[in-house]
Parts: sequence; C-alpha cells; structure tokens
Amino acid sequence: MRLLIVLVLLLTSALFGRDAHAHAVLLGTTPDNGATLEAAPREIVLRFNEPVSPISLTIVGRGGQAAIPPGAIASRNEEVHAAMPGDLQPGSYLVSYRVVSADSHPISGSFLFAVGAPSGAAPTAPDLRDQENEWALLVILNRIVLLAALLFAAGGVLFATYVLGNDRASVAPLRRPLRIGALVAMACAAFAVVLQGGLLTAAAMDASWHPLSLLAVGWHSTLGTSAALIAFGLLLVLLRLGQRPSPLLLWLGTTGAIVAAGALAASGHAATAPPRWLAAPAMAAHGLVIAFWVGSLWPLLRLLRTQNTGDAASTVVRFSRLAVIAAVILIVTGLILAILQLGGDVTALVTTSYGQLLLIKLSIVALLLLLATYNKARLTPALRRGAPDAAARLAGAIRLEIAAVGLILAVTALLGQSPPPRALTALTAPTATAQTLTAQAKGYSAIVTVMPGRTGRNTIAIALTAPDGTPFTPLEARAEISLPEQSIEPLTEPLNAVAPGRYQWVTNGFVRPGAWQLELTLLINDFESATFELPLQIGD
Amino acid sequence: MLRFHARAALPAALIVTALYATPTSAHVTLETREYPAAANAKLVLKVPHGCEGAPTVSVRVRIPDNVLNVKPQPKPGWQVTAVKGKLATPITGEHGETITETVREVQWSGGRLEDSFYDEFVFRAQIPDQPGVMLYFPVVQDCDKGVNRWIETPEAGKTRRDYKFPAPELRVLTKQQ
Repeated sequence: MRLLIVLVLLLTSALFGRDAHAHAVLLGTTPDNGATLEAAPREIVLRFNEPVSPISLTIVGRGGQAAIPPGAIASRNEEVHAAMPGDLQPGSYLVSYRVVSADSHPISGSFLFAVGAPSGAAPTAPDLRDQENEWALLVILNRIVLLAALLFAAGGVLFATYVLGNDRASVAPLRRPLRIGALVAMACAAFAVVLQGGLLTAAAMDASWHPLSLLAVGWHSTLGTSAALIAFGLLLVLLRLGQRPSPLLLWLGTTGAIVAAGALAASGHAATAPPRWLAAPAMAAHGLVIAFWVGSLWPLLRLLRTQNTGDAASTVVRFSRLAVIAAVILIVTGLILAILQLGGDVTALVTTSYGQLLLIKLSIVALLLLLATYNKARLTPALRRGAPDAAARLAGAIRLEIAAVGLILAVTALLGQSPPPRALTALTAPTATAQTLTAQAKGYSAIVTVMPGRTGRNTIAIALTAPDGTPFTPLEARAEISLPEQSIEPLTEPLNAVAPGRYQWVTNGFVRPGAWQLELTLLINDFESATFELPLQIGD
Repeated sequence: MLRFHARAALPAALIVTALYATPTSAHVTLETREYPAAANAKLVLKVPHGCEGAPTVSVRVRIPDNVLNVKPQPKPGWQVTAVKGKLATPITGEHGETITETVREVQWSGGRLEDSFYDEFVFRAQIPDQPGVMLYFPVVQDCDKGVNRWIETPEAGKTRRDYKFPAPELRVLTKQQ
C-alpha cells in the first residue's frame, strides 16, 4: 500500500520537474547568420555566454518547417549542437530557437543561412506536410480509443461515487472491466505522446524513427502535460478499484477521475482558443460531464440486467437527476467552445471542414439528447411502475446511446486534427504583392516598402520622419522580422542609413509565406527609443 | 454523501492549477516601485547583471520632469556626477525660493561591476505631487563591451512585461497624511 502511495508521489513530482539556468545571450552561430554554404550542414551550433537549457529548435524552409527532435540536440557547456535533417534541398533556411536561462527567462530568436544559392527562383525545401498527414491518421485512431477508454474508466468511477454512493456490493461487478479500461487508457495516453512527437517532427514513416526520441518531443508539447495528467488520474482510479478500498482511496479515486477527465483541457484546439480563461475551464467542465454521462451508460446497462427491478429503478432515477444537470452544463459549455472556435464567424459552419464536422457532431448530440429525454420522460417512470418490458426497452435505448457516443467520439477525434476557423485566416497564404505601410510611434513616422513581397529575396526600404516633418536619422536602428503564427522567433538585423532618414535592407529572411511581423526599433537619443510594428503579407 | 465526494474536486483543481508557474525576469529596476506623492524618496536602482556577460562600467539614469531635489549617494570605486539642466519655466521651491535648474541626469562611472555580481545605485529624490502618475527613469548601462538601454516606455494598452528592455518605473500613490 505504502509503496503504491510512494509511486503516486514520484509520478506527481515528475509532473512538476522543470530545469532552469541563468540569464543568457546568443554570442554566435555556426553557420554564421546570413551565410551561404555550398553543401547542407550536418549540424548547427549556437554559442551562448552561459550554459542554457534548450526548449525548442525549428528549421524553417519554403515548404514547411520541422521541429528538431530533442534526441538530435545536445547541450555542451555554453554550446547547443543540433543535427540537421539529411535531405535539405538548396534554398534559404531559418533556424528558430528558444532556450531557457537561470531566471526562467526564455531567450529566443532566429538566424538565417542558405544552401547553394539563396532562394530566389531556387528549388524549394522538401514539403513536410505530406509526412504530417500519415501521422495524423494514427493520432486520430489512437485518440478515439483513448477517449473511449478514458471516459469509460473515469466516468465509471464517477458513476460509482455519485450514483451508487460507493456501495461495495453494487460496484463489485463493475470493478474488473473498469480496471481494464483504465489500463487501456493509460497505454493509449503514452502512445499518444509518441504519436504527437512523430506529428511534430514529421518524422519519416520508415524504420528510421526511434520511439524514445519521439516520446521526448511529444512530452515537451502540451499534449505531454495532458497525457501525464490523464495517466496520473487513472493511476488513482486504479488504486480505488482495488478489492477493499479505504475511504481515503475512494476519495482519491474520485479525485483522480476528475483530474483525468479534466486533463482534456490541458491541450488541444478547444482548450487553447482565446480567451483562455474561458476556454480552458469550459473544456474541463465539458470533459467532466461527458465522462460522467458516457461512463454511466455501460454500468447502467449492466445493472439493469443484474439488479432486481426495484433497485435498478432507484439507480436509474438517481442517475437521471444528475444527468439533467450534466446535460445543461454540457450544452452551455459546448456552445461556448463552439463559438470560440468559430471565431465569431457563423458561416464557417458550412464553409470550412471544421465547421461541417462540428455540424455533424452537434446533430448527433441533439439526437442523443432527444433519446435521453425520452428515457427520462417515458422509460424511467415505466421502470419505476414495474412495467414488464421496461428494463429491456431502457437497455435497448442505452445501447443506442452508446452507439451514438461512439460516432461522436470519432467526429471529435477528427475535429482535433482540423484547424479551427479562428486559426484559418492566419494559415491561408497571402498573395505576393509589393506593399507600402506607414506607422507612427512617439510622434515619429515610418514609411516602409517591401518588394516583391514573396518568399525569397526582398528589399525593404524605410523612410523615417521626425515630428517636425524633416527626415530623421536615429542614433541606431534595428529591424526584426518574425512569423508569430508559426512560432518563428525574430531574425534581427542592425540597419545603416543610406541617406538622411533613409534605410535599405536586402534580406532572404522571408523563407516561407505567411503573415510576418516587422518591428523597427530606433534609438532617438541616449534615453529614448521608439518602436514601430508593421504587419507584412508575404506570398508564395 | 454528495458533499463529501464533492470535496474531491478541490485537490484536483489544486493539482492542475499548480502546474502553471510564472517566470521571473532580470531587468534593471527600482527597488520600491510605489511611493506616496510629495514624499522624500530613497530610490534604489538594482543592477542584476552586465551586458551579455561583460562587466558594467557606468550607470546613467535620466530623471523625469518634476522630480526635484535629486541627490545621488556616493559609491566607493565609482565617480558620481549629478548633471544639471535648465528648467523651461522656473518653479518655486518648498521654502519659497526660485528654482531655475534641476538635476536632469545622474551618472556613476569609472567603476567595474562583474556580470556575476549584483549591485545597487542609490539616489534621493522628491516625488512630485501627482497622485496616480507613472514615472519612468530610463537607465543606460554601459559595459566593457556593449550597452544595455533600459529605456522602453510602454505604449497605450501595453505593460512593461511586453518589452525586453523596459525603463524602471515608479507609481505615485496618493499623498500620505
């Protein structure tokens, strides 16, 4: 017993482990920023002034980007070495990095290099999107099994607690199947982390990928946190499902079931939709009530068969009282999540694949609610009255509900892999056009022209004006370009004036299309600076 | 019975919320970030590190308008200078005298603070009688190699957390009786 508690504590402490080092700065890279190499490098090196802990390293090319798996990253003293994918085509690449220093301060940025000729009309980098799709199918299948087993096991414990009142005799026949369900869910959760690692790195689907390195990548994602919470909660559920659980274990088991079901809010589209303070709790509540409802279906079926009519009737009545509250919470949280995901655009329901899947899910949910209402209004009173075939008809209705739930789980898993409409506007590649933008800061204005406005070599011309209308040359000027929607960190370049108030920067940094961000920082005098932020649309 | 098991939700919530921790940062800041209006304040600039590993050799702070009676504290190993500037319009001091010049900038130079060490630079100042206002004290930290300019003041709608090199700030509270 004590050994199990120690194991639980160890697992808990593993969840909170985070390393932190000290405030650091990038001193240099190999290859140098802006360098053109004849052949693709086998590894890259980032040199800092102190030892750092790498969080992520991503290589970005024209067709896509790939996270470099932790197995390929080595931190040696003040240097971070990363092995490069072997199949880099000629073209320009950005390496976007995030590391952590002692005060948990993330240091991030990007540097640029080219293989062969810098991208202009050069051949593109390998399109990494195809490999992602192969992993996506596995992720969806695994997620369906995970959801089913998780809802079954966690929901079953919630049913045992809140409907059966932890009555040992009633719970006994449910114990073994629930334990199996919990073990299956834990296995699926672990597998999900490996699959997520494969999805993130778009690793080649051949014998070359290593499960442990994919596990490490997936572990660092939000899915890793979610899977850890699920495993932790289910471990408590397993302990509770033992032969003679003490009151403490009963209580811990219920806590574990709540944590496991709520863990669905730790990652995924629905829980991360802005504003997070609304989306995450809504998702947690959604997951909880679904777990209770879905997890109660099979135990109810079982009890209808085994218990006598009187006991069965009172169990069903107790369940349906709670189910009404659960249904209300389900509808409210479901609506909140759907609205947040649609990003306020109702037409997205029919125009996007996400919207269409959501419509299908909502239709099946509506049917399910109708069925449940019929159960509560007609079949449950019939059972209480002791009508002869009431138990059989109720059992049939519950089987229908289980089938509907299975369909909903499949659609939900598909939804999880589709981009929600709120993110779609950012992902569609803009058309390539030269653009001119203006911005103001602290009375100073900047006119910025970007030509040609597509991936590859671009010329950025900047004209600065002081508040009195004259051309203004600051003490220092610096430009940073980044692609926040793809988490690409800023590439920095100091600027030199070609004429009073006039700057020109020729860069290959726009390696892929998207909504890039240009930040211009000027040093007006020793103690004053001004920053301009300009959105740029870079086409393909 | 239901209440007993409802309590299971509390530790569950605690476990999950405990996973979200906020990181700390290492900027040049003022030790006390709030002061009552019209108070005589001891302002302490905290310098936690150098510039990209290089030792600090000079710290300069610009005093915002309306902050009067600035007197820097001498520091062994450092040369202290209070740079005076003319006021656009003369003002009347608390003893009735006319003030035409105030300290606009305080400089500590000629010293050496290694990156692995921490130090404080102190000066006395009178907080203006403007409750609710946020005062910014931009600091230029010169090093052996390189310079850190803690001079970014937040634009409308942003806070110091949105910037990499925010200026040390001080909020003026209501007057203390």
